[in-house]
Amino acid sequence: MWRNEIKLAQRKLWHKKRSSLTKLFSLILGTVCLFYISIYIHQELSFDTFHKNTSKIVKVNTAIKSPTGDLALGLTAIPVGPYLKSNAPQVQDFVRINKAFGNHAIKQGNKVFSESENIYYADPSFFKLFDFNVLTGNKESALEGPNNMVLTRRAAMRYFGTVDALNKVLIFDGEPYTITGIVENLPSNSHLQFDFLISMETFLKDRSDANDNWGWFPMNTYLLLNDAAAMAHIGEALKKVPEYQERADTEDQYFLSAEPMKGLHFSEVKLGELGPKEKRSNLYILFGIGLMILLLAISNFINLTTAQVSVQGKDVSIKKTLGASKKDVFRQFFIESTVLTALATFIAMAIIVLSFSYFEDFVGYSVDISFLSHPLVFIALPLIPIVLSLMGGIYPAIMFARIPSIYAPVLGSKPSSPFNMRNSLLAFQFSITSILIICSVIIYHQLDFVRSQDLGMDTKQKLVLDYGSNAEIGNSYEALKEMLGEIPGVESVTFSSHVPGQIPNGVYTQITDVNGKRSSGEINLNLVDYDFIQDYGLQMIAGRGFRREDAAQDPVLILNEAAVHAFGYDDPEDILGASFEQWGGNGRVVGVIKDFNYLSLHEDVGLLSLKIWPEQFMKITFEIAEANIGTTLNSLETKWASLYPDIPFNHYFVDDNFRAQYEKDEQFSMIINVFTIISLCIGILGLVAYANFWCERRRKEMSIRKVLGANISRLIWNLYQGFSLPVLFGFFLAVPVSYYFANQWLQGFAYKFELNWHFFVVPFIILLLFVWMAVGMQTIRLAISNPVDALKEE
Amino acid sequence: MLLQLNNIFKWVNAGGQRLFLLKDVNLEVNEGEFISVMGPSGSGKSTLLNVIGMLDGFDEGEYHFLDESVHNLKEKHRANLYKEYIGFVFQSYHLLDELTVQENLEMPLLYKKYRGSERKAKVADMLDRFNIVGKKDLFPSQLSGGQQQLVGIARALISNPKLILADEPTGNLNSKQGEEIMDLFKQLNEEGVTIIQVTHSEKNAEYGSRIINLLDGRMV
Repeated sequence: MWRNEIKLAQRKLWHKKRSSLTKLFSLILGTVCLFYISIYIHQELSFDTFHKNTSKIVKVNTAIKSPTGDLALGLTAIPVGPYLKSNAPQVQDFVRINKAFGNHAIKQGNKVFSESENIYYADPSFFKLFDFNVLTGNKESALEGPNNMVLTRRAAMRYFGTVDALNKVLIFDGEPYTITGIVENLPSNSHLQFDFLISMETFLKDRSDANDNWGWFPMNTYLLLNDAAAMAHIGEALKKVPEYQERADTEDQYFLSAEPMKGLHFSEVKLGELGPKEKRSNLYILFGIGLMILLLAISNFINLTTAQVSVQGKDVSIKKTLGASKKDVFRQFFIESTVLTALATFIAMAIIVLSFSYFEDFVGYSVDISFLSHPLVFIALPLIPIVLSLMGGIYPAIMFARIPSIYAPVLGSKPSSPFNMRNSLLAFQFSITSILIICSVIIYHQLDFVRSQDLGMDTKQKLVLDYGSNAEIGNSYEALKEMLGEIPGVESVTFSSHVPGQIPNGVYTQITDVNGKRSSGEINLNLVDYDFIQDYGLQMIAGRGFRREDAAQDPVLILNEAAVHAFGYDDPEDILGASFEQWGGNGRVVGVIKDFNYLSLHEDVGLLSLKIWPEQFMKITFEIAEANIGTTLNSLETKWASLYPDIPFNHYFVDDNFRAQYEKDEQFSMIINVFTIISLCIGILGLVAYANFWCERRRKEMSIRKVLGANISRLIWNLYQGFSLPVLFGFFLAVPVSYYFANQWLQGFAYKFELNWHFFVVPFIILLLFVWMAVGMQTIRLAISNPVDALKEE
Repeated sequence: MLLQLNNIFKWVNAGGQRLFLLKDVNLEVNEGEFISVMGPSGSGKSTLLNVIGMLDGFDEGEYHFLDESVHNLKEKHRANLYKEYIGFVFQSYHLLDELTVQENLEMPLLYKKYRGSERKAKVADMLDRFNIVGKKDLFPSQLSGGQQQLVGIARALISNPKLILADEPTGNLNSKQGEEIMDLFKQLNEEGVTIIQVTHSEKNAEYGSRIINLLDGRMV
C-alpha cells in the first residue's frame, strides 16, 4: 500500500515537472535560508556560554556623571577589583583585563609582525574564571610574574611554527617575554578575543601609583561570585566603595554597576568594552525574515497544489468511485507532499554541507557546529519534511479529500472573489517580497549617500604607516619627515596619533567658557604635527593653524566648531585666546577648524581638539601621487626597513580604513539583498507555475469570450488584472511595515537622506514588471490560442 | 432480487422552483438481468445510474440493495456496500493517467485491504482473462480507446461485483470497438453478472434483456 502510494507520488511529481520543480526549489531555498539563519542566531545566543562559571561572572562598569555630559564606561579603575575581593563577601575572585592600545611590533628571530587589537594584559586568575583550553603550561601560574605571555595556537604557529613553544622567548616592543602557556584558538562565540595574553604584573610594573588611582579607567573587570544568587546583592556592595561616594570637591560623580556576563553580547555599547555587540532585535528581524522565506515557499506549495484541483479533481472522483475513502485520498496527497518535502530536505542538507565554508567566509568566523552531531538532531532531521508537509500539505489534502465522487468542475475557491485563499496567499507573498525590495532599495541608497557625502576633509591617496607608539620616532620626527618626503611619488608627509576613521582618545579638558568660568568636558584629542590641517584639507574658520615653532613653546590648542559650541561660544572668534588645561598641559586656544566627519556618518561630529605632541605620534600619513603607486609603496617600504628593521611596515589607505566603518552595514545590506533576491525568485517562480494552471483553468472561458468577439488586447488586460490585484494588495500591506523598519534602521545614522515616495513607487513598478513578465508569455499564448481547441467536447 | 427502488424522487432547487431530476421511479432488478436505460439527453439516465451506484443521494423514496435499506445507511456503510458489490464503467474510461494498466487494475483492491500476493494473483488473472497481459506495463495514453475501455471493464470486474453500472460504455468508441465491448458485456452477463447500462443506441440496447425508457425523470 505505502509503496504503491509513494511510487504513485513519484510518478505524479515527475509528470508535473514544472510545478514540482518550483515547489522543490522554493522549499530548498526556504530550508537552506532558515538553517543558516538558525545557525547564525545559535552562534550569537551562545556567546560566552561555554565557561562553566558564566552564570556566576559579572562585569563591572563605571558610569560618570559630569556637568558636561554623562559617560558610560565598560571599564573600571585598577583598584576596584582587588577592593571588592577583599571587602565584598559575595566576590570570590576577580580578573582585570586591559587591551593593549594601538600597534605593537612582535619579533621572533627574523620574523616581525605588527599586532593590534589582539593583545590583552590579564590577572593570574584569568583561567580560573574563564574556561579556555590550555594546551601546555600551568593554568594557575602562567600569568604570574612580569614579562610572561600566553599564546594561542594560532600565534604560536605564526611565530614558532609549532605549538611546542613553552619557555621560548618573543620580543614584544623591544622587550623579551617568556612564553608560559599555549591555549587552543579561541571559540568565535567568545567576547574575549586575543592571541597574546600578558601577565598583569607587566602592565603594572612601571605604573607604581596606578594601584591607588580611582580616577583612571583602564580595566575590564570581571568578578567571580560565590553563586548565581549573589548576583542580586552585588549591586549593594558596589555602591559602598568609599572612593566613589559623593564628594564636595568635584562635580564629577562615579557609579559602579554590575552586568551579568550572560547578556554581555547584547547589552548597550559602552566605552572600552571588549568584543563585538549584537542587537537582540536584529536577531529577531533575521529570524523573522528566515521564517517569512520559508512561509513563502510553503505558500507556493499550497498554491500550486490546490491549483491542481481542476486537473486532479477528476482522478480523485474516480478513486472514490473505485472505493477510496476520504482517508485514503487524504493520505495519498499527504504522502505526495511528504515525498516532495523529504526530497527537498535531503537536497537542502546536501547544499548546506557543500556551502558551509562559504557561509563561514561570509560571516567571517568559523562556526562551532558540534551541536549538529547531537543525537537529538538526527531524530529531529526526519521531522523537517513532516513538519513542512504538515504546514504545506494539510490544507490541499483536505481540499482534495472533500471532492465528491461525482466530479463537478466548479470546486475550490470561487475565482470571482478577490479574497479567496489563493489570492490571499499571493498577496501575502508579495507583501513580504515588497518589504524586502523596499528595504534593500533604501539601504542601498543610504549607503550610497554615506559614501558620496562630503566629509569636510581630503582622504584621497592617503597612505598611513602605523608604527605604533614609539617616543624615539616621535621625538625625531622632523628629520624622518624630511627623509621620507624626498622619496619620489610622496607628495606630503604628516605625523599624528590618529587618522580619520579611528576614534581618538577622549580626554578630560578644562576651558574657559563663554561666561569666563572654568568649564570641563571630555573632548577627543588627536595629536598632530603642524602640517596635518593642511594635508588633510581641513578648513580654518578662525584664528591660525599650527606653526613649526609651536612644538617648542607653550601648548596651543585648535578646536573644531562642535567643541566651540559646547563651551557656549556662538562666534568661533570669541574662543581664541581662551585658556585650557588638558592632560596636565596648560595653554591657549589659537584656532578653530570647520567640523569634519572624522568618524562614520553613524555619528554626529564629536568634539575634537588638535595639539602638537610628537612623543605620542603613532602614524605617518603620506599623500601619494596617483601614478606608480606600487613603486612608491615599494620604495617607502624599503626605506622603512632600512631605518627601522624591527618595526613592521604596517600600512593602509585612509579611504579603505574609513570605509571599513561601514563594513557591518554593507554586510547587512548584502544579507537583505540576498534575501530579497531569494524571495523574489520564490515569488516569481510560484507565480509562473500558478499562472500556468490558472490559464489552463480559464482556457474555456477565454475561448468562449473570444468566440463571442472579445479582442485580444482586452483579454490580455483582463488576465493581467487578475494577477495585479493581489500584488497591489500585498504591496500596500508592505508599505507601512517597510516604512517602519527602514526608519528604524536609518535612526542608526546621524546623517541620512529623507525618505520620500520614490522609494515606494519605484520598487512597486519593478515588482509589477516582474509579475507581468512572469505571467506575460502564458497569458499571451492563451489569448491568441485557437478557441476551437478548448471548446471541443470530450 | 438484487435491488429495489420505491418511489424515488430527486430534485434540485433552481430559481425558487423545484426541478425534478427523478420523479417517482420504481424499479426492481433481479440477479442476472441485463438492463438498458434509454432516453433523450437530460432525461435523468445518468442520475438514475448514480443513485443506483450510491454515488449520489436522493430526496424521497426507498432504496433496498440486497436486503439493506440504503436510504437509512450512513455514508460510510453505503460506501462499503458499493465497494463490495458494484463496479463502474465510464464513457471516457476514467483510467488514472499516471498508473500503468496493471496498477489501474490493482487500484480498487488497494481500498479493500487485500494482501499483496492476493492482489497480484487477481490482477494477473484479470489480465489473462481479457488477453491484455502484454499491455500490463503500458500507460493509458499508450492504448487505443477500445483497449482503454477493456481495461476499464476489467477494473470494474476485479473485485467480483454483483452489479456492473455502465454509463454509455461505447460512447467514445467506433462501431467495431463498440461491438466488441457489447459482446463482452453479453458474455459477462451470461456468466452471471448483473449489468445496467445507459445508452443512446437502439442497437446496443438490444443486447439487454430489458429496456427502461426515461423522459424528464420519469419512467415511461
